[in-house]
Amino acid sequence: MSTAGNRRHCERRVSIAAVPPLLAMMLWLAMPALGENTVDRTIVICQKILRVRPDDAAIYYKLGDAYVEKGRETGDITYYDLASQSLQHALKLEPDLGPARRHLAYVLYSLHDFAGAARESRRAIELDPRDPNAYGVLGDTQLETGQYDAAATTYTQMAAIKDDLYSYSRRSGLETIRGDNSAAIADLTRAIAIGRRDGAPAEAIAWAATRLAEDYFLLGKLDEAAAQDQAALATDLGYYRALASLGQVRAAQGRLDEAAGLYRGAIAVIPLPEYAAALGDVYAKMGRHEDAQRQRELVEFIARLNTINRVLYNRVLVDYYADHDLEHHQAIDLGAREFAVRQDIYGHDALAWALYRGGKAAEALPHIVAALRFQTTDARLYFHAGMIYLALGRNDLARARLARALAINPHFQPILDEVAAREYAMLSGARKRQYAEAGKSNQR
Amino acid sequence: MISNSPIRIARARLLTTLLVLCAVVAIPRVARAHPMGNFSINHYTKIVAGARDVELDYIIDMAEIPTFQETKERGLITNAGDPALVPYLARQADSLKGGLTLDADGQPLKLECVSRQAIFPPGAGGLPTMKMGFVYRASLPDAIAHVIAHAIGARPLSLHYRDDNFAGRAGWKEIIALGGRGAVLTGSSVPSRDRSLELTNYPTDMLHSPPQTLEALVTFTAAPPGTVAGGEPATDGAGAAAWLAAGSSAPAPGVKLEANRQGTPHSAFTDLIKSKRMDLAFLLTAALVAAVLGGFHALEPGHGKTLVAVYLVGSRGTAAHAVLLGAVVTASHTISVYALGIITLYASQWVVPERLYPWLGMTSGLMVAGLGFALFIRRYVSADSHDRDHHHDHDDHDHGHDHRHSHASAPIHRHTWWGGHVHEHSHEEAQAHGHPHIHQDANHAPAAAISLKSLCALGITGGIVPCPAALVVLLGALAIHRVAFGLFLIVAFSAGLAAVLIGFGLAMVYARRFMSRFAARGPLTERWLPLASSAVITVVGITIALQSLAAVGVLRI
Repeated sequence: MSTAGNRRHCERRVSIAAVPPLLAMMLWLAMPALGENTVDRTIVICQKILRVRPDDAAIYYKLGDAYVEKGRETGDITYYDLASQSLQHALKLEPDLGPARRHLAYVLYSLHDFAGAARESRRAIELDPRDPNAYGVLGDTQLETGQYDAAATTYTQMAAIKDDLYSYSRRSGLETIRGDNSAAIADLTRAIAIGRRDGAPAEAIAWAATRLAEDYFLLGKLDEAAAQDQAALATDLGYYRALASLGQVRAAQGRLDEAAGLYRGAIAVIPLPEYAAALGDVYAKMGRHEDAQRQRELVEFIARLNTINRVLYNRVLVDYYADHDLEHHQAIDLGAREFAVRQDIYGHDALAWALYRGGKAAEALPHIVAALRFQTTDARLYFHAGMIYLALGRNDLARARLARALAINPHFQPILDEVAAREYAMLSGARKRQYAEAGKSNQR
Repeated sequence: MISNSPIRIARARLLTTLLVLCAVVAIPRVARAHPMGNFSINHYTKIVAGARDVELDYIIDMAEIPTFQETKERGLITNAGDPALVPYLARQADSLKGGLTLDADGQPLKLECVSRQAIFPPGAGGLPTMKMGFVYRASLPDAIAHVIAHAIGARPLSLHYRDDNFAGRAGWKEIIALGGRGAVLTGSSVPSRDRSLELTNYPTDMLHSPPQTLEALVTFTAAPPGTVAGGEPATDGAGAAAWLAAGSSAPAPGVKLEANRQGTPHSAFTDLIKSKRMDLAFLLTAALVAAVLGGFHALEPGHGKTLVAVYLVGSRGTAAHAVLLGAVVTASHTISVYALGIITLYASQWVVPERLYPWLGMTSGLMVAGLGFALFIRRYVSADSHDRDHHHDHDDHDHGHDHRHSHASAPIHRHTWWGGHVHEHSHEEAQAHGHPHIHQDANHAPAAAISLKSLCALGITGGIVPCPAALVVLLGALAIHRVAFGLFLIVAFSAGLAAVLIGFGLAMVYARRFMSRFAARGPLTERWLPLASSAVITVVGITIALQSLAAVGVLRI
């Protein structure tokens, strides 16, 4: 009798204990149907559940996941902080929660803590060797730090587990760097198609489309690039990366008014220094020097804030200084500091470009050679190489590099594309004269 | 070259450490980045729905980068008194109005700006941020106002509000709604209390992410007769009352703008503690810096320094008393920092530490004032009721029982309200008379002077107000799991504080002795100095309490 009563009692307790998880699950299932912006709703619902069930590691993970998504959407770093808090809390409750660890790796990667990201993603892989995204984050970390072979291996492992938007778009990034543009474009196209089919978040699809646009832009295929940017904007209304990318295309097409408007739109969402610098160049080309000056002051202001906030990774600023022939010492210093932790081809390039502007072309040479070791189809890299060779007096090599830059994309960057064309013309003219003189002396 | 670089890096790091510590501890108010991120634009709307009109209190808080963009684009000088600000705000009021939609039962209402203002609180590195406050008012169309006014209990009126300004820009986006004059809300898609205290406080953690509300649906109806006009229950105390008072017939109200109460705990300081180097030199330097800053900090007002001085001067304290009082102030200060740190960490769900400060300050101030007042009364009565023919030459604290001293009459001494231990005590002295004696240890101090308990009580009340700077140091360390280092820094900081307070006390003791050489037994040291000192203690206590009240906003100075 009493045992039966006990059992009944226990059963009741068990069934009461099952209510919150069930409730949570129901809310979970109902979530996608609740409204348009599921990220905001996911955040709210997770917070509500956690107030009732504060020890639920899985919900903390889900909350962290939503914050990561929100951070990607808005570009607001505050959300990465919140994501990291949530994920760390989840891991405190359940240290072996692989997905939380992988997400933490992604947050660290987004905050440019590459060493931490590599460490956490490796642990996530240990916890779950079948988690494709853990390989993805590890590969990204390797890609950003210039370990291209390792990245290729990791991406292959990822793709072996699952072929989706994320694995295809990652592989394409590596292909772009290795100069295999047609493969990169094919993979990105596939990634977008799969993403649409699988119902990936709009931001993820728009991101891939913008990447595709940038790949087209590298090749100088401006119409295709514009089409992809517009597709990205149609997928994710007002997506700031796509606005800026389309601005770049319009500037190259000479549609400067439109370009300025697009950059202004991107800056209204996130005033990234690269956008302000690009808008400044567009204004300068339009002859609106006062407006250009204002944008450049904004870049300087953000640089000052970054110093105050002790942001160490400042590649954008290195490029900006070097592009505008400013602050040579600081540019070299920043470039070297970033290169110490990040030896990818663009790290080499930024340092080389800054060294060249600082009058150290000889020191720049090995870096620009390293930057071009995969013969990446990027006119900027060839332009920098051409200018460095020119400074070293190796005119034939300079001429060849400039020719390649202009062949890849004659409008790779406002103002500097004109510099490239001018230098190339002068070198060619000099060469013609040389030949002509040589010919004359032969005739004699 | 290569072997040199680690040393150079270490040196640079040390220098940065010093600078950062200086920045964080010495000027915490200046070196704050915007809590919502450098490029955020934060929105806030308070909808006050009245029977005749609807009022929108609209605040825009721009972080460093958008403020810079605005000032560059409009040629604005970031000074609240700049004359260019007036036309700028007028234009801004107009253009922001364009982004706001307010419909009553589907009819668009015309907004009219009745108040505008701006302040420029310093953000990261002292760079300005901008906070603008506008009050928009829209009269309800006569037909609708008539319905509201006369058809009590009829279908409630619905308001639809939307904010399209700065679409897409990251930030805190909050809307609240209250019932105004002659109206009560019957339904609302937004809360009636705000989380950000009108964009002065951004309490964000993983369970309370920034609100992203840009749209509100509110239904309201006439307040039933008998309720107070604007009968919104349980609103935000004084703030809400001020808003409600600003109904349609009130003069043009303004938005009360204040600087943000917190910065980004993320930036500068955490970098210091994150520094992986933990060798002895680093620790010693950090401790030294913390101690020096603690010392400087002691010189700022509000650290019991005045109390120490005044009390010791007035009560014929000795060097030992000075040391003890300094130590007690410092210990209570350190403990309160730890306690507040713990509260912040574990109880921030229920208690907002920023709101705790003023109350702590007020409690402590009132206690100090009470102590001072009690001392004053006691001394007053004692001085009055007693012939002052005694000797007093106790230059050393081991004077014990063998000197003559005089005391007040017993009844008053039996009840010192803070629990001073009083009892009858008889001495075999030349002038032997039974007298009450505050009696704590082997060293019998004069009753009008110092008892250990009263000294501790004063020290604790004087030190209990924790300084935000020390708290920031502790929480910064906790936030990055360097608990031991944080505790260590606080101890060093407190040691510096103690050193200065004790030094100050000693200086006071010797200064008094120096003075008493000239007027050893005059009315100055016997009567007026103790009286004046307890009066000053009372005033200091009242000042602390009043300042705290002002910080809460209960009192306006």
